[in-house]
Amino acid sequence: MRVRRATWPRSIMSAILVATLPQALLGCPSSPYPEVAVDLATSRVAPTSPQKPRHGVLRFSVAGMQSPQDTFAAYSRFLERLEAKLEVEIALVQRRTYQEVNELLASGQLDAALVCTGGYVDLERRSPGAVEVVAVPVVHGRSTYQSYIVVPAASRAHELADLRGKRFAFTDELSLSGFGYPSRLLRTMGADAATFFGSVTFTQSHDRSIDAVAKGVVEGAAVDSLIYDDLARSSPHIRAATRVIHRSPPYGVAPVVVSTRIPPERRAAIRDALLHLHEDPEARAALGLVGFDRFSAPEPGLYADAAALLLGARP
Amino acid sequence: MTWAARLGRLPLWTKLAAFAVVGVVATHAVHLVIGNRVASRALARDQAQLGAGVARLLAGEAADPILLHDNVTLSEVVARAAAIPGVAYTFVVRDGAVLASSFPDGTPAALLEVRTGGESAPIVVVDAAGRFLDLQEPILGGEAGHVRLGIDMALLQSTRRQIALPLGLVALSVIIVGVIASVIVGRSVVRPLEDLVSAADRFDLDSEVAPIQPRGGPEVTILGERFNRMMKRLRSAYAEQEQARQKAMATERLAALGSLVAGVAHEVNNPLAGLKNCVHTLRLGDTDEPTRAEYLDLMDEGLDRIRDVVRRLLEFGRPRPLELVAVSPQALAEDVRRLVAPVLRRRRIELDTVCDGDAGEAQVSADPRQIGQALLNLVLNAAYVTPDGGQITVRARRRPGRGGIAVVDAGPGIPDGIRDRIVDPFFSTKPEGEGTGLGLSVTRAIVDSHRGELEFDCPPEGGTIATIWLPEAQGAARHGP
Repeated sequence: MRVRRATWPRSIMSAILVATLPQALLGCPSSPYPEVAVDLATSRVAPTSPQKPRHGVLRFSVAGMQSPQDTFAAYSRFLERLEAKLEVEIALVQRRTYQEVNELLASGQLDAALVCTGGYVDLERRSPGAVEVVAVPVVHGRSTYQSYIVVPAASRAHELADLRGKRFAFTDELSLSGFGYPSRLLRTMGADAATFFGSVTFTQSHDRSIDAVAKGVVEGAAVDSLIYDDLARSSPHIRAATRVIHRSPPYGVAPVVVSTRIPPERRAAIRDALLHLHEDPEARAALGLVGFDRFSAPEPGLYADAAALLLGARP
Repeated sequence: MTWAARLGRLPLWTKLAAFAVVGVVATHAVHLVIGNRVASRALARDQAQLGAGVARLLAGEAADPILLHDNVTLSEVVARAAAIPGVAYTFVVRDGAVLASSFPDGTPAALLEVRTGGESAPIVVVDAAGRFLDLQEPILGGEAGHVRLGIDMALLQSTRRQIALPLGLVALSVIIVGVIASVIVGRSVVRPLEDLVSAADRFDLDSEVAPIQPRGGPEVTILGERFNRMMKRLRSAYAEQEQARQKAMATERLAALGSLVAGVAHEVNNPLAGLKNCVHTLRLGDTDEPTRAEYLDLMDEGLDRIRDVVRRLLEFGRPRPLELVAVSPQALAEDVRRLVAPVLRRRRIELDTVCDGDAGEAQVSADPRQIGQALLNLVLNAAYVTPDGGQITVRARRRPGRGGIAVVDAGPGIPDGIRDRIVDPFFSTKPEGEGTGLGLSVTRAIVDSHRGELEFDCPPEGGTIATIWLPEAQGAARHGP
């Protein structure tokens, strides 16, 4: 049986080919991304500062115990919950050194801050009454912390004296755990921090010091026990790569201070909000992110040991 | 002539090669266009990936200065990123404000406005100054702002050009190789066909042609084998046909011979019977001298008749070589009139010669002696059917390329039933003993040998017009077989 095959007229086939081939070729654009036409030459200049002024904002700082990015990541949610509690917008203000934070507090450019213990003692010394401690964090049931001397896990050092001539990392000159305590310890050993080590680096945050030890960049560092324990818990690498060779006595933990330039009732509101923050489940989770159980009212004499250590250590 | 017709007249190998060349060139053109676009897209993606890497690095470096409100460091970071080759611009934007920018005179707001959300998909910003691949990278998930990075796509064009040159050279090389290959393939495809054509041209039914040895693929081999087989069959069929024709000719010859023999036997038999009778009477010896003399005369007459039959037979079967000269039909007519007119005059038959139109100027190529004999046969036939006191006319005629001599009688004409047979040997309407039946056969043989025509017309008013048409002489007289 002969089957007649249906064929398209050649002219139609040619027409279809001519019509579709260029489109098939040109339909595949040379760039896979959308194009937007603009006229940059005649465009106005974009603003360089926020367009809406910010009034009534509570300027809150967190001293750089951690790196700026970690601090930002950790404290953003905490501040969000505090905003909700206080019903006021909070601006997180970060500075590289404790000194800068202290200066902002003293000059009234900051309303409140979580300052390190050493920074608080120094601020009280330089500007007495400039700030008021409204709350202290409670970490694992305690409001104290320690200074750790940390070395690489493979290090032969077993005490601070073994680190003579080595590369060492301090955190900040105002840090109790990261500078004040080890300096005092060296002084009791008859040594001087400036000459005892082979080289000294100020990292401006405890987590960077710990990281430097773990990577072997430095052969020892003095760090905040709360931050070290937290990192050692969350990072197996830190746990495996570092070792604590010395632990200081406990000192009062870094407090939340409020500028005394703020009216007392607002200071009271901030205190109240902080002390009850943990009662809000969401806020409790946010507190957990920064490693706090809750806030408590400062016990009298909580920073006496720290003040004695630091002020006694300074000329 | 249309282009299609012109194309159709091109040799097959040229068309095959041209088709292959067009195919190769078109394929490579399409390949180049698509390849160029694919390469451009791949390069753009690659550039976007590299740019995104730079933007991520910048976002990482910018995070701390932003958080620490360190605009000096941030500006340094942005300036370092802008110094990377290929980066056209970069800036950091947070909450609608540009914190740091590589634009010395301020960042164009239009550039900020092309991205309204936090989407990080690349876009191409087209400006009079150029085309820029615009990338956006969030800083700390967008909470600390975004880094914007523009990559000058002129770099991409340059890379494309760098790629296009070797690609183009490769394509050109492939096209050249393709053209050469097309020509070679076209020639190789057509060569077996040319072999077949050559073999077909050389093919001769009478001689053996060597079978072709096809070169090429299996199809060509099969075609060659079929062609050889076809040639063989053709030769075989021709041989069979030739054999059949030879047989038919032999049969015809035998039939003609039979007819000839019968006629000869008939023509010879009558005189022989008379001779036999005379010899028998003379052998009895009781005949007187006058009777014997009469019998001898009869025998002589009978022998003359037999000799005449044999002579005519010889003339029929073996015509003499022609001696052609240029002669006018009118002269031929006059010759025959002079020869026959006295004989006819005894029967009071008048023989006239006339000349049609310009027939007197015509010159035909003829052997006058043989044509004279042919004309004599026609005139004698005419005289036979013309009653005493009648008239016969010999007319010189002419038509394009031919001159003719017509013998016109006033006889009864030729009956329809025998017109086709009147020139057959030994066919005669005369009573027995009055004709040999070879006159018109000999006449036709003579006319045929002159490449002429013997034409018989029987007009409605009666009589017969027998015309010998001879070719007109070309130039000087010539001699031939």
